[in-house]
Amino acid sequence: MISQAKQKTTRKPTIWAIGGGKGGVGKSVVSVLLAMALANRQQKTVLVDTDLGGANLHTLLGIKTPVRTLNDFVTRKYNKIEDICIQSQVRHLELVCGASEILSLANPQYAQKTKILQSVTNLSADHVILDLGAGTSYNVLDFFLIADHPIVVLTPQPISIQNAYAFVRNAVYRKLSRVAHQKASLQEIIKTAMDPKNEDQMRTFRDLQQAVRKSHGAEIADQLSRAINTIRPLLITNMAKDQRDNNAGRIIKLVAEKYLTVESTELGSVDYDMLVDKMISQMMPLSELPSTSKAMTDAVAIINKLTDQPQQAVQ
Amino acid sequence: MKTPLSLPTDHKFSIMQRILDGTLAIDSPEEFEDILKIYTDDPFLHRKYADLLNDLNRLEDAIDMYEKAASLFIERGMNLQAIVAKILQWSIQKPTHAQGRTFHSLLSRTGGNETPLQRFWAGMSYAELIAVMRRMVRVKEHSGKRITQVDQADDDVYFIVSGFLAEMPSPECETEARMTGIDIEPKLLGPNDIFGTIFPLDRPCTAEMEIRSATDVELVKITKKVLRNACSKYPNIENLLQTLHKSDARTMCDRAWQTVRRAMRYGLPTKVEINCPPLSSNQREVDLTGIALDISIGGISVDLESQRAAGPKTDLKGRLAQIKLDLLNKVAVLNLTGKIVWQRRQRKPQGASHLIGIRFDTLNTMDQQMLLEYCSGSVGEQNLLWSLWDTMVKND
Repeated sequence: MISQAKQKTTRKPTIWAIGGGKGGVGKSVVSVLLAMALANRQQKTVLVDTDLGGANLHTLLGIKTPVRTLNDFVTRKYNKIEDICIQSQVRHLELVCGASEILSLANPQYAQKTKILQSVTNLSADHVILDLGAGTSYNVLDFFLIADHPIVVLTPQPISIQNAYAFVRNAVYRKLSRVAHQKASLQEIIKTAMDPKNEDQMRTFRDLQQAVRKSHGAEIADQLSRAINTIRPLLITNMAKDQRDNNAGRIIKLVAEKYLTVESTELGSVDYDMLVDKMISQMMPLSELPSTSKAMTDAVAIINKLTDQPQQAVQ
Repeated sequence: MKTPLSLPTDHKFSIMQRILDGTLAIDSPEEFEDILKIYTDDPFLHRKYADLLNDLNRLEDAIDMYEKAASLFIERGMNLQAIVAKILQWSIQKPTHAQGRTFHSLLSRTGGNETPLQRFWAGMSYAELIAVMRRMVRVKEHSGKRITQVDQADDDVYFIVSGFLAEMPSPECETEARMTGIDIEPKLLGPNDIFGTIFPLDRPCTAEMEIRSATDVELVKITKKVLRNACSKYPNIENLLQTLHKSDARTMCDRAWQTVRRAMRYGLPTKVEINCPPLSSNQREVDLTGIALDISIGGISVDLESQRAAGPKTDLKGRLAQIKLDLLNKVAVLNLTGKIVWQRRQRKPQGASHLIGIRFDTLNTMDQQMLLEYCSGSVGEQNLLWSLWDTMVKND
């Protein structure tokens, strides 16, 4: 079958960003599973390791030492991002390896970040999946905010839920801060609201909106609301072990609705799969994960839910 | 515009929180004075200190401290709390008319005037205020106490000075919830909320809601009879009450999603390593480990671990500290510096523990960002996260 990318060369790829704040919740594994599920639908998918400080996505796909990395693109060794794409063992799935050897890239300069952002959004593919690094640095949040499908991965543990919420919260304030970047006084109010214990008693986005309405007028307050409405996080609970674990995403959804007025969607869970654990610890590529495995089945279900086009996975 | 003040549960630095909620009992005036040197303008702490002085029968000092607390409350627009501090001050020493008028003038000129409750207190004439103040009854209750009961006589109006109460769902609300399949939890009432049926003033009412204290609370109670008499003598009081009544008319079930746990402080265990370098030849280096009880960008309170149950032999207060925080996140091990500003032993059912409070030196932007991220969300956000986790995910 001809790749859809070839049929629509002018169409931009769908960008997926996989974040979540805390390290170790399985962002990279979920990225790989979703990428494989999409590629198995015969849709050209490029998986990009944007964990610029600790890139290791390639090891999950059985690549020990990547020959080309994002660093080669940023330092102009290669002019096009397509040139650093590496074919994986999965048909229709390519990989752009991160650049962990260059620590300075953990905090790329604005121009470098823009170059990466622009290039990935113009990749000739049906889907581009960005595996984000841990934490909520501006760089991570900026990658998250450009995505068509901004996904937050969490596990049912309290610390992960807290971090996932912090991730959404920081993404919201990053977005607001960018909207307000030309107004210092507005920036100041947003900065104050970001402090969860601020003495101006701004505890929710509505409080902030009210303060902005008072200080800068209704139009600016509405502009912030519109900016918030563009953030629609998608929540995946990873390593769920029982029915109650599946509720972890709902917690983020409820708290984000209440405090941030952000509407998020629960995409479902990826159940804990001992086979995945075993493969990772034995350095076996996840590309060899059977399509009938629990984790893969869940990933396919998530893709089906999101694209609303249930299809049989092909391997 | 008044300087807003956080509720006690939102205090920036944990020592205040712990002193105010009673989990850190300070029974020495000297210790309290040390704390007040650091937090010079916190009215709740001043009020607490005044109560301590009053209990110790140091009445002159208590009068001064209530006076100070009242003016700090007024500065922050907390008229009700200022009035209660004044009532306590005047219960020790009866005021002269001049003193009464000075307070009234301060309240009406500079007290908060933005919310209906602020206007209720600040909008009365001197005679009106005194008529109400003289009949106010202060009520202190521990958590879990039922204050009003459904279908029982509802003859008092309560004003919440501090603490939180839960308004249990009414039978109608429960029926509505059952029909719509929504889970409901009690509403939470906090400082400056009021409860009890105000109108009609001239007919007996029965309570429609059960109200229970969710934390230790301080309330002010005024009977409807007192209000009725005051209103007949001073029509302005009835106008102010009408405004207050309208503003409190909430839709049934409008806050039913809230949880009584909002008033509780949740915290995730965070490992802390502390090194206190010697500052002089007669000081020795001290290494401590513990668990953080509360963290903010201002500082941290640490429960020193059990091996230190006997307590650090050295007096740590005033020592400089290098602090390593393991935020349970591989990207977030923070190395900070600060100063130990308090130290004390706390008795617990399972044995004594030692607590210290450290105030951080100015944080660099990156550390501040990381801490903000870790202490993500306000108390409300945190508590909603954890109460939902308790009910929806946690397996017992």
